[in-house]
Amino acid sequence: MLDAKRLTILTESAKYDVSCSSSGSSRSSRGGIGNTYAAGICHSFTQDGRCISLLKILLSNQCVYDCLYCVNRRSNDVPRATATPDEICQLVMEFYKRNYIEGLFLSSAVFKNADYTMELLLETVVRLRKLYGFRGYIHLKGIPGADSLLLNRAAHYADRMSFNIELPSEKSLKLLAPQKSKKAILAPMGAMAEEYKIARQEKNKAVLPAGQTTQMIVGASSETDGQIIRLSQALYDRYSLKRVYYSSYVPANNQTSLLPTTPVGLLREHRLYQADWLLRFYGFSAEEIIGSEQNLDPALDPKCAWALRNMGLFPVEVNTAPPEVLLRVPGIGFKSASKICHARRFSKLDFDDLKKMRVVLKRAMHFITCGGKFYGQESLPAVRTLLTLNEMPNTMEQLSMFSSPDINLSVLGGEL
Amino acid sequence: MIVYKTPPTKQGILCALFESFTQKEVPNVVTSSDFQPTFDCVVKDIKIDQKIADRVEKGLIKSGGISLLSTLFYALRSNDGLKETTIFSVAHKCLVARKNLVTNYKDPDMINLYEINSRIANEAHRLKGFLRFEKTAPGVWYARISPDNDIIDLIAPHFKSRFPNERFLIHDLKRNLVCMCDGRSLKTIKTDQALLVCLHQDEHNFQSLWQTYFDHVTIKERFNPKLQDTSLPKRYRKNMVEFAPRQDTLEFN
Repeated sequence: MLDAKRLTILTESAKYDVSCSSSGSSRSSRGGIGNTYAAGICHSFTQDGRCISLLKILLSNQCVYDCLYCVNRRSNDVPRATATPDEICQLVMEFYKRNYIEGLFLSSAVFKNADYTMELLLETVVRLRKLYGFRGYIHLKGIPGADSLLLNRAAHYADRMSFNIELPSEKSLKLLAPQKSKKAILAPMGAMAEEYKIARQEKNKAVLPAGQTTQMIVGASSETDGQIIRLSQALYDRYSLKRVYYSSYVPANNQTSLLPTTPVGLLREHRLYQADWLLRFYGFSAEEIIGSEQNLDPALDPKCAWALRNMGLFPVEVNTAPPEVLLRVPGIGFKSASKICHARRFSKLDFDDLKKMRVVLKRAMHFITCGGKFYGQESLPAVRTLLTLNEMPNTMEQLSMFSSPDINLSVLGGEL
Repeated sequence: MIVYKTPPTKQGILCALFESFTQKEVPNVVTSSDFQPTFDCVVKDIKIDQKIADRVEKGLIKSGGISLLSTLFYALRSNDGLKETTIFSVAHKCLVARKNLVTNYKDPDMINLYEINSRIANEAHRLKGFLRFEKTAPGVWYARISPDNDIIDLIAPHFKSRFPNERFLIHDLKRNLVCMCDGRSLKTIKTDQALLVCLHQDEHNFQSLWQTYFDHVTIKERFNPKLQDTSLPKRYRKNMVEFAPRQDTLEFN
């Protein structure tokens, strides 16, 4: 059985992977124990506000690689530990039966070589499924460079697999993770996407029911938000990824002049996720959201920023606009759009009706008309100011003699 | 002001609707709790008659379909003091209009019903994650919950299908309800007795491993307890292992 000491080491080494979700797969417990739930279930939340859904753990943190940003890099002086496949399986089963977790997120440092590592990961997953009859969620990290036969086999046992891109460009990879290359990461991703496509055509739902994801570290290298969002769009289109995760760089290692020494603000990560949501759910394209050499505006959410650049398309009439147009109005999301579309079948809606329906109008009011009437601000600069102020309520406080505005801003940016 | 007092059940509301239509009056309040009457207040006790309830139910199905019934009475699980009045008003309006009006959200009753139901569904979803089983000495799994709404019947089937052949008890401490699963079927009973739970010898070890995991998976540079509080409100934590005091602290670095 895995002891507390090794559990601690293997958890500490795994925690920087931001992927957490247990969604996208729906399977019954037939013939085993456990099932999966399409929407995913969060089981707890830690003090950093992140959810715990899966037992996120490494099989080993003994790595032959020496990536500068990574806490487990070979040249780092951190405690090392390795678990056996069976120890992981036991822990998963015991935690799962107590309803602590939704399943397993298994990853590993590369020890000895990629194939050897992948073999052990595969052995763990197969053992968990076959010997323990586990039918809960399994997210397995693929080891880039491992034999494609191993990877393809793993896809038949895991719900979701991911290969982490880590850095958004080949140049940054060369600089910060010299042993990794863009090709070595993208090739298995492409092969998996192909496997996934074929399985779907054959109506075989057992292969990666929850698809693939990836993760990028933001702020460790010099790419702009525009480049990152374009890369994400390409990944969604070409590799039919389910999700791209963004992880603000947290300095985990001794300083090197190639990396920033302070954590990158959480605000940037937040804006990237907002833009990502626009790509996946709101029908936006990367080109609409941001220019390729630009960064997202920290003061405005990307949908607001887009609307302000395209004031010609607004205001839209809430009583007649199609749902996909309503979704493009800043401040109106899926819930509000759905409420509006339902309610307007009964009768015309005016501004007070929207309020009664608890649609948040703070931002939306500048972009809609209700029965032809407009309730927002006419002038663009005025709207921009109002929206910017709405976005940053925390910084708007009365100045006292001792307060320093710089500190407040850095709190917002997550730098403290 | 007219007040109807009914039991907090489907039959109660259905009979209240019948009373309202036969008397050609609309009550201002429908309630199951003790109502402090003001002096211009007429309080009527609604009597349950199964035949009448069936008649009104048929009428409701005719007006709004089966989905109307399930939307209306889903809300009975709520802890909202106005739930009976809200369910009654929505049903009344649908019967008058002979139409399913629940998505006419500009009507305050409809949006109230929508929000009551969302709160119930959200809490049920949350507890599917936040509920914690403990292994007892006889091998039966035991979980304590104290939800705001009466959602035990919404979550128990989830655990039954997740853990086939396992025997478990889910205990709602607020309502003194115990839902039992013998591996095949579910049964909920009311009990005022305290349950004496004798834990399995392994239990302590796994609870402490889970606490270890929980403590170490946090990224300290990202400390954000406010976000934690919104996602996992404090009232749920008293039944969760990871928020219980640490038994033996691990000296390790």
